[in-house]
Amino acid sequence: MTRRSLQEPTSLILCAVADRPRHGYAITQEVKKMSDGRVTLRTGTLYSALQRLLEDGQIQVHSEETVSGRARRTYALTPQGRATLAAEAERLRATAVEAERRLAVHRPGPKGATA
Amino acid sequence: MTEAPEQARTTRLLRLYPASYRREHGPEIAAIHADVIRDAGRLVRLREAADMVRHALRVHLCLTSADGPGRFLAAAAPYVLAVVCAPALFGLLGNSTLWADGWTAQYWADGGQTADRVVWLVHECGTLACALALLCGAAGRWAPARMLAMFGVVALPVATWVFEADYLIYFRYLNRPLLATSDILCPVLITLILLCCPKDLPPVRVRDRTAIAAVAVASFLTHTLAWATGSLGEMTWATQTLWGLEALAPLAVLAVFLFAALARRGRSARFTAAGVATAMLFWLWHDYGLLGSVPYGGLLAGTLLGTAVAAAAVVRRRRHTTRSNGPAASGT
Repeated sequence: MTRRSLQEPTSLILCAVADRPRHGYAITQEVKKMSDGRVTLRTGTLYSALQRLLEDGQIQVHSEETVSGRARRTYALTPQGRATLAAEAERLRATAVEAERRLAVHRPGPKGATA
Repeated sequence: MTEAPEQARTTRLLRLYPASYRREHGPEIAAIHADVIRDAGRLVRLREAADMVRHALRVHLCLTSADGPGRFLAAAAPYVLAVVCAPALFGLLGNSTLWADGWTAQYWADGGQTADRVVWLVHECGTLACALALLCGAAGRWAPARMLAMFGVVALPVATWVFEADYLIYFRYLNRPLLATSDILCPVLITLILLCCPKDLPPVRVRDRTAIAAVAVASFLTHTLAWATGSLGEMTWATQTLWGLEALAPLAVLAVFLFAALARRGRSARFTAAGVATAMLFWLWHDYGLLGSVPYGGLLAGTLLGTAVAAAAVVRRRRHTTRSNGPAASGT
């Protein structure tokens, strides 16, 4: 299990295929939805990332089919990818907890108030 | 009926890929592309087409994030940006003191050639762009950081060549072809590294951002201290030490990151180590004059690098020994 932080596009792609296998276009749509439209993966960029994640063993080809004359390949997380994503989620959760704790320690009072 | 022109366009785009790659991956890329551009506006279609052209070019050059060279560029980019842009923070301070002293106002009031003024202005803008690139890089905003750094690195040489070519040819480069090659090659290579870094592997991880911030802070602090001490006019051992620190600080910071990368295992760590080493080479290339001004500068730099490599080797050996002793120890 890696403890290194992931780049955002990578973690979003892993997240997109975490609940169920998805094909390329569905991944781009999920990524867009999860990031509130902030991250748009274009075809070439997405395909590069998928190839890299396949090579790294983070995702695997779940199925290959032809729909409406188009080759469609769906991708799913491997156990290694699942562990990587879980570690990333844990890292983000720990950061969020720490941030909330520190914010709670210092709560500024109303303006002009004295101790 | 509307399928035909779209399909023809996709087929034309696919032809840009190498034949073997197209045979293996073409149908899937075409399927994703067709889904994405379905019901999309003209702008989205153009962006998609541009992205596929870029991707095809990357596949030809083995620069996708799945290829070794692409990963190497992604690993090298933040460190290269850091060493190239770090002096700009002190440059800004220097420029601001010139403004404060009224030197700049006097320079403009005195008149002079338009070309000189343009080059001066480009230099100021380039320095500001590099400083902003550092801030954006340290904040994890890679896209603006990359653009600003490229502008900062390229703008001044281009402006100088455009407006002061005579000076460059007859006074700087005459009988010094190596210097000319170096002056042209250095910004070109830096731009290529920043430009070719794969889009889906932006160097925005904590480690990348820390490296950019650490090199920038080390460079700024040591430059400022050395400058402040030097301006007192007394040459003491402290001044000389500060000048040495000024010259070696970025290298020392990079040595720490080199040690960290070499001490780790795995493919990613190897790319990071190669990236840090590349940035060190750029730093030596860029600032070899500064290093040469320090007594035993080369020796000190070599010692720093040697220490980082040796320390990493020791850590790896210890880790290896612990791992190989582990099962035996637990079995007893």
